[in-house]
Amino acid sequence: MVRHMDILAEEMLKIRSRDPARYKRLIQEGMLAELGFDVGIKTKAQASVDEVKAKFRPKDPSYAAISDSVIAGKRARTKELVATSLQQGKDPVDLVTNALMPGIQTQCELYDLGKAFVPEILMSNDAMQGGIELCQAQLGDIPKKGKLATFVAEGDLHDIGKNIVAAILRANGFDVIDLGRDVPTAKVIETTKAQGIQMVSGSTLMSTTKAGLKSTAETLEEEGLKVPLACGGAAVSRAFVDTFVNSIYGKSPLDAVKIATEVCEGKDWKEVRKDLY
Amino acid sequence: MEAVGIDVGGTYTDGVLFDLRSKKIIRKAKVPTRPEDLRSSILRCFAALEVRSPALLSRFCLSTTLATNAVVEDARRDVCAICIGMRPRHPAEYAAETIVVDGRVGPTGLVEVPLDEEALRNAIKRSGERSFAISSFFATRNPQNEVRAAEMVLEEHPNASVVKGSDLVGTLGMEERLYIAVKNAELIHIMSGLIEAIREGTKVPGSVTYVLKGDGTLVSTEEAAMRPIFTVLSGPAASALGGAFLAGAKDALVVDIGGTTTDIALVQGGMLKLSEDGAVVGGSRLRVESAEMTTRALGGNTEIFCGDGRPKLGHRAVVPLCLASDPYRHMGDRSYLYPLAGKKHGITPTDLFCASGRSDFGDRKVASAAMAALAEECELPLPTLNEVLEDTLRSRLLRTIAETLLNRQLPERGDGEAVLRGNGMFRTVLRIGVPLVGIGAPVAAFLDLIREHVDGPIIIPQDHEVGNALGAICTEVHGRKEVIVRNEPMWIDGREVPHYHVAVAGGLRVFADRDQAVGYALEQATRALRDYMERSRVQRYQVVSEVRDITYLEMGQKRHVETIVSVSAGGM
Repeated sequence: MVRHMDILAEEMLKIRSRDPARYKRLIQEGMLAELGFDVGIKTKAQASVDEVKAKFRPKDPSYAAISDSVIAGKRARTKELVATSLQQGKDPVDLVTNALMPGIQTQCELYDLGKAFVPEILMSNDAMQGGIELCQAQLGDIPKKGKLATFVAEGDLHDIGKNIVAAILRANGFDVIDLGRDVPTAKVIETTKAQGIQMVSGSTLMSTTKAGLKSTAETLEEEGLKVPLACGGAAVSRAFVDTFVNSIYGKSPLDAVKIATEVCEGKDWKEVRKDLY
Repeated sequence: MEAVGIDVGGTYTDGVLFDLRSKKIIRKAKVPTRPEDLRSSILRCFAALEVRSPALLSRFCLSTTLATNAVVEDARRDVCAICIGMRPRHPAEYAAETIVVDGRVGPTGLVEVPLDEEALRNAIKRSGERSFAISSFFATRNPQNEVRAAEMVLEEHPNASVVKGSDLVGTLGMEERLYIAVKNAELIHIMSGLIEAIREGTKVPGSVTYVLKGDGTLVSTEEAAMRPIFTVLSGPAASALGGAFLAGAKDALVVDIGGTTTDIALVQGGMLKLSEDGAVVGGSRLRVESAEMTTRALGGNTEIFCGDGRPKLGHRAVVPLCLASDPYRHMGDRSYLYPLAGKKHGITPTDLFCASGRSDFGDRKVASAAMAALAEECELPLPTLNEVLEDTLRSRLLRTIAETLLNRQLPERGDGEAVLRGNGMFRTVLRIGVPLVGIGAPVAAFLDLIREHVDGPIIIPQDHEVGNALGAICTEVHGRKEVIVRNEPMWIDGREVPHYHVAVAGGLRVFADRDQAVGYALEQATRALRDYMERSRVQRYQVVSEVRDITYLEMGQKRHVETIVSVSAGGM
């Protein structure tokens, strides 16, 4: 039942501050698993891999096959299946939303549960993009849900998390400009203005660099751009994000999708916080 | 111990002469407002009050629409906007001239790009304007560039008026602050002109004259002339406070039903509940404090018509037939029963109440004839028509009250409204924690409709028609200053070292020690508050201070973000 190490570590530290005696005893007994087992899971029964897959699996067998090959991360096979479906006269938009997307959604959900890992998400995304390209060729441009930018705070080179967020946002129909890692506030502002960005997603892994998120959120506000900053990353907590304006905290990549959806519907950061927290 | 209160409204200017000792109204007055000449409206109202010795008045309190009108009308445009560190998007919409120069402060208040003094001085020299509004990037974190620019303006144009954005609002948003500063600069001359004209016209000494702010507190004429923008939306504030005062309640939900709209505000402990994001006037959000007011189209003049064969309640206002000067001319054909564009006269709740005997206001014969015609057009018996319409009015009113108390919008004809409306088997009764106070001409008939739906006192005080004029008298001066100590840690040799930033009117100071920084903030806030109270001529007041830490938990450790130091005082 142990989930990702970073989540485990965070919850261990919570126990340490809440119940130091018990923490000490468990550590002495070497019951790390017990610590991880105990927290967070009481509230929600975890779905099994099969349940998650069944939840998203399309009913149409040819769609289900496409979805499965996205989950398996097989780009060539996905393209082949999508091409066949298109030849059979399937609607390209329907293919994207009901065959390709369920695949990546399954993978994202599995990641959230700790049952899938970063490379698998990237591979699934790659497979899905292959399929989407074929559909796009038939369609012209698929309408995007909104225009976003992603970045890692200045001074921080850890961009795995940000890459996942960018991939999942793209997979969910957003147009994402990825500014990369170690990005100063000025560059975020410049891109936001030049590209008409609707929301920025920023992350950082280190506590030494998290002030960069605060200054970016505040500068966006001072510029009057009405563009909120979705914040996440290992060094970032909701408690920290709530201490400054124009920001919304998200724990998982799927939270970023929820935040982006609300922001692109025209809600401001206060409304989004009210809705999602 | 006599006091005069005057409220200039959109339609009428109301006045009241009040005895402060016995707390009794001596005389009331109501004159039509001439929007293009507020001065004469005020003077005519004052004359109607027949004050025997104006020089001996102990208080003269004024609530005017001057600032609100100026913001809505957007006409003058005689201010030079000085922007430091950022080019605003729409300056031409509100400023006569825009100067943009370099000079940038970062979010922590430290200088990133120094102010280009030479370019600024040249631009100021060239400007022909007499009013200047200054806003600089992150001035709320460090106002030094605004302070310097203001000095330079006065060096070049000694008689100019200068307004600094950070002096008016403390929120982020450089252009928002610029807009407010420009509007304030525009108003300075108009407001001081009005105050001077009133002093001359009434012979009331300036030292007892006060102006009401949008947050429901009073300011001296000196302060009002410096920061006139804070008087926007003082009218609604006045009526809410006056309503609560007349009802003798410190806490009240004040429902003000006029001809066009219903305005609902909450008074708690004699003070207005303020809106979180500031006033909204003419579609733009001004970050100045104002009452949190729920306004919906529902009043004595709201249009009632026949739509799809059913009786309906519209959103616009028309002249009630039972009050029209020549009603039968408008009732010649059946067109008055339909929501035609440009229609001026029609059936309204006033006609409904008049015909059904709920009120004595208006010509009952006309009202009955109109209601009978509507019943025929909708193919309903008259009693059923009355029931349907009363039910519609009731649910709109209940919905508006619920919206105010919940602080969220409920859609028209949505589930929330259905629950509030109930039916023959099921009735929703609202238990409101405070008394409901009704003011405005048609309020009694409207509140009668919801009596069975409210569990608690409903008070309609006597003299409620001058509640707004009284509202300006019954409040007091209240000052509040806030200084924030921000912890902006720096990483030195791999260690996090706290730096405490305090931005006050003069500029930024950085401390290494939290207690020292808080002490400095407290001293500065108190000094600013004392200045304000002195300018408002309050001699006796007590300063209440509050120091609040904003922290968060990280890895089990408490982390300090900022300390909010606020001081406040009230008095008269």
